[in-house]
Amino acid sequence: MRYLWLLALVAGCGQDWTESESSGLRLLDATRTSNLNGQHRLRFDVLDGETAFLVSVDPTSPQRAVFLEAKNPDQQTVFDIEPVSETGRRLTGGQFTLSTVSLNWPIREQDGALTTGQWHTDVGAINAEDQFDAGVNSIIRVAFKQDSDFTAGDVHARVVYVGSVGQDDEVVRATEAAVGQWQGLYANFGLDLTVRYDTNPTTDSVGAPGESSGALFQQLSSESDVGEVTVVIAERIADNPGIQGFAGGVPGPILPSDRSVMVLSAIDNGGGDLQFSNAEIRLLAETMAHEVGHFIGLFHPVELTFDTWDALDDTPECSNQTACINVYSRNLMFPVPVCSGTTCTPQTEMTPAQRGVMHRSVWVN
Amino acid sequence: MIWLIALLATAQAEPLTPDITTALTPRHTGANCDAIHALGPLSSVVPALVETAETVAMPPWVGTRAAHCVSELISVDTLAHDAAIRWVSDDTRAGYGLIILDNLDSLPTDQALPLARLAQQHASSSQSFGRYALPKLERSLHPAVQALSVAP
Repeated sequence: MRYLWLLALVAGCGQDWTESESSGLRLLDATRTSNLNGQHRLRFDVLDGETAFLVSVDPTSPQRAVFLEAKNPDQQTVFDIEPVSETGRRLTGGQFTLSTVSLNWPIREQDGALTTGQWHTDVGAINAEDQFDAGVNSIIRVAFKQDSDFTAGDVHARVVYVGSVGQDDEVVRATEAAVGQWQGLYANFGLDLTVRYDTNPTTDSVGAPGESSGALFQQLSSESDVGEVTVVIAERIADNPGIQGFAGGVPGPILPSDRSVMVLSAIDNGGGDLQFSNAEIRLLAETMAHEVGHFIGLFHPVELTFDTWDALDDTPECSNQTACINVYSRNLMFPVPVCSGTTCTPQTEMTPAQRGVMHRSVWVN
Repeated sequence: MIWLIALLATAQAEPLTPDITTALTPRHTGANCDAIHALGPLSSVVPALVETAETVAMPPWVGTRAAHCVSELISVDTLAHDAAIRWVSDDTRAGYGLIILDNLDSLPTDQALPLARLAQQHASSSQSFGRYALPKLERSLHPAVQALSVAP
C-alpha cells in the first residue's frame, strides 16, 4: 500500500492527489484547504497522450469558487480571468463565481494542443461577502482524456425520471422519442450518443441545479458513471417556474455535486395538455441537445441582452433581435426558438468552432 | 431582457398577446411574471395571459409560463380565477391545472379549497392528472385541502 501512496504522490507532483481510472478517464482527486490568499493553488501533471483536462472544484457550502488563472508547463498563462471578463465574452463557466466550478482545457482550436508536463491553476475560494476566503475546504477532481480525434467522439448520458414522471407513460414515451432525435442531431456533429434510463421515485419536488435539491443532485450524479451526463426529468423545476431545461454548469462538474446534473421540466416541455405532440417532441430533443451542449461547454452565441457573446471566432457578433435571428435562427445554441403557430424553425446547426468546443470537452471521449 | 421590457412598455395600446408571447419564448428566462404583470392594467394583462395560455401552441413553455403568471393573480382578478377553475377541471388543460395547484398555498383557504375540490374531482377521472395532482393536495399547507387527498 505504501508504494501506491508513493505513486499517487508522484503522479500529483508533490500534491496529495489520489489517482484512479474510470470510464477511460484518468482521475486525480483531492480535498484542499484554501491558502491565506483565499486560493487553491493546484498543480498536476499532464501525461503523454492526454489531450484535454477538466478541473472541477466544489467548495464547502455556502462558499463558492472561481478560476483565476491557468498556466501551462512553460509557465505561460493560457487562461486569465481578468482579460477574459473584460471582453464581455463567455469562454468558460469557470470565469463565474459559482457553488461548483469547472474549467476544461483546451476549449478552442486556438488554445492549442495540451502540452505534457506540470500545469498550474489558481482557484479563488469566495465567501458570502464576495471576498477571497482562507481555510475553505474544497473537493477537487481533475479528469484527463486521451482522444486525439476532435471530429468524432462519444457522449454518455443517464436519464433519470424523478418522482411521478417515471410512472407517466406519456412522459416516458416522449422522452425516449426525443432521445432518439437527439442522437440523430448529435450524430451530425460527430457525436455518438449513448443513453441509459433510470428512475428515482423518492420526491416530486425538484429545483434548479446549484440553487436547491442539492442533496438529490449530489446523489443522482454520484450514481452515474464518471463522464456520464446525468439528465433529470422532473415534473417541473419548482423554484424556477416555466424554465424547461437547466444545466448545472458550462461545462458541468466532473465530480458529484449539487450542480452535476441537467434538469428538464416535463410540464413545460409538454405544454398545457400534458400530451407531447410531434412538434413538442422535436423541440424537446433540441432542448436536450441544447442543455447538454451547455453541460459539455458551450455558451449561447449571443445573450438576449445583445451585448454578451461567446468567445468563438466563427459565431459573429450581432446586436439586436432581428439581426441575431437572421444569423442564428437555426443554431442549436441560440437562446430563443423561432416559432410561428404550431411549428418552430429547426435549430439543428452548429458552427465548426462550436463543434470543436464539444470535441475538446472531457465530457466527449 | 431590458430591451424587451422597454419595447413592451411602449406597446400597451396594442393587444398584449403577441408581446407576452415574445417575452415568454426564450429558453432560460422562466415566467418573469413581475415584468409581464407590469405591462399594463390587469384588465388588459390578464385576458392577454389567458389568451396566450390557451392559444399559443409553440414553444409549449409559453403557455405554461403564461398560466403560471395567471396563477399569481387568482386572488385579485376574477378572470384569472375563472381561468383557474377551468384549468383544474379540464383534461385538455391538465398541465395548467397542475400549475394552479402549485400556487394553492398562496391563496386564502376559502379560495384554495374550491379549486382543490375541482382538482380532486378531475383527478378521479384522469389518472394522468391525478398522478401529479393528488400529491400536491397532500402537501398543501391548508389542512382542509390536505384532507381532500385522503378523502374516499
